[in-house]
Amino acid sequence: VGQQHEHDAEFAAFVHATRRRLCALAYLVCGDRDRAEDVVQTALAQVYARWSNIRRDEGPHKYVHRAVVNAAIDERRRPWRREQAAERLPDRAAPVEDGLTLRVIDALSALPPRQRAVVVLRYIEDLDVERTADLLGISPGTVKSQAAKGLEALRGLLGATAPIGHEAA
Amino acid sequence: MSMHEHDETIAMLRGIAADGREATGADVANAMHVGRKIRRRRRAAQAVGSGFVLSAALGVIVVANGMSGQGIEVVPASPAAPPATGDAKPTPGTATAEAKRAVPHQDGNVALLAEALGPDFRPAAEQPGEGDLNLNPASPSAAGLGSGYAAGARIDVFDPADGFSVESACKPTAEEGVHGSECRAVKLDNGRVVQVQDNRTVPGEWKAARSSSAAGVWDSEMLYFARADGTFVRIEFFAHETTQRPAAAQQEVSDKWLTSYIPQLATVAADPRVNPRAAAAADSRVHVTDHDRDQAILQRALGGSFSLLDGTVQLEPGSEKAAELPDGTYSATAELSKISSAAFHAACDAKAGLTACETKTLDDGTVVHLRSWADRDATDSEMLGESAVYLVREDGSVLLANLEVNGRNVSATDADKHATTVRQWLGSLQDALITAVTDPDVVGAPATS
Repeated sequence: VGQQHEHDAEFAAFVHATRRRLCALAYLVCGDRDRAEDVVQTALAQVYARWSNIRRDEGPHKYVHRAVVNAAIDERRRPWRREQAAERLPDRAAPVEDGLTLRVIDALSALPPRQRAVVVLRYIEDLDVERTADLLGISPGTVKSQAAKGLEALRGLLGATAPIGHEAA
Repeated sequence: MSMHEHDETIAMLRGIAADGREATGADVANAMHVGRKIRRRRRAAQAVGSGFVLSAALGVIVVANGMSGQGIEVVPASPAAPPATGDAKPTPGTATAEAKRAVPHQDGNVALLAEALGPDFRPAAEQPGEGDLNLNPASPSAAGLGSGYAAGARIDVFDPADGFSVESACKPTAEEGVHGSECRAVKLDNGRVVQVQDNRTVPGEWKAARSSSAAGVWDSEMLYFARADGTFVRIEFFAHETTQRPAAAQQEVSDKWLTSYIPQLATVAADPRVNPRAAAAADSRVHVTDHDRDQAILQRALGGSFSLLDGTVQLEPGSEKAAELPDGTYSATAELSKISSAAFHAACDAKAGLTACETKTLDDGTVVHLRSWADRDATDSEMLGESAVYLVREDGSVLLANLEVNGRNVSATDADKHATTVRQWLGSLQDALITAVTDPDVVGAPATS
């Protein structure tokens, strides 16, 4: 019982430290705040269910990061099935987003799911190529090519200019 | 400083403020609550699995169907089905260690899929869509799919540590209006066995609480191949609407088109080149029980606000019915099972402090016994409620369709208001429970929990 209490306390601290960032990450990858909350909550429940093993092995941060990204791009909860017409206002306040944020999120949603995840992990989460490849289960070469293609598509969507001698990754 | 730091697009990406909200105590409590349920389910599954291995010596029946001319045949997916002709010796005790070493090699896997599907399917980078490969809408293959639909395929290799298994995936499922059949085993010429599941949308069944628009059709064939190292391959081959509400007949065309690809997809799923390299599992059967099938009947009766995953019927968060409960801490589970006559009498007979169950005679003369209640547990501030429908069958066996609801952190002040709402909510679903318990297709199996 004492050990369980210790684990619960560790887990609570972990949730308080990571949840906010995980929700932002899930939102950027899936483009839907409600679904992002579901994805993170499910991932955290899975982390809790195997807390003893995870903290001993790869660590909860890597595990939950991977679980959130994969769930957010998993088409079993299809982004295209997102409902469009809101009949009622959300029952909780959504964080305020500025015009730039909304524009970028809208543009990101036009990318294929895995490409979107690559762009988010590389340029918003600021992970290196190897870590991005590891989280998504793809090769570093694919990360580089998907990042380049994603940026090219975003450039067109956002109307940004390409730098001279641009190198994507 | 690398060149990309000067990129205006990257600067925009880094400048966005898509922050999540801070965690609350309720978030922690919710995660722990669900996490404990996952742990319990896993323990139960392990117990079932140990008994399952013992049944491996049962007899062999192979039933060929119309697909046999394409190098595959379908075999029953029941526990009495044949042991697979796996090409590796089982290695007890090493599966976990091997799985941990397994690193997916997604690029190579997608290349194998592309080889099997042909040039009409292109990588996502060239043909945007929801898959690793997406159908070129201008290609000859797209002509067979019909208008208003797009299609694609994904391949993934799962590690058992993901908490997802062929066993659980292959049970009948329902989620957000998409119904998954129990798997059927498809046997390849080389003896390898791939499990195939049809996923079909029932248009209009799922409605989210915060929206008036219905979700569109997303149908798929899911193929699962279990491997000796404990990992398994999943291929999702899907077709979905690109416009709202095309004709229903178009869904039939799309579904026929999907199933026509099963032979080549099964070959890829079982391809030994799929990384990480692994042999076929020694035993590829899945164990779909009568209880799993009864749960599917119960879910259909309760409707699209309830999901069926891994044999468990649960209220789907965000659904119309979930929104009718007092707040977001509420969850609900339902089960259809056979109980003993003694248990029925203990639950329904009048005794000190408890009235007898209500009796209701249906239009066809069938008699069902009903009990419904909701109350706050003062020891832990939980609101508990239950609606139970009992049917005593002609052979004397008793079926119980049971819906349990649970809400947390209910103050004594709010208790009456919550209890009233929960009782009304349970009452609104009583007819669905009656429909399920009286369905002639119900087999009646003991509860698993």
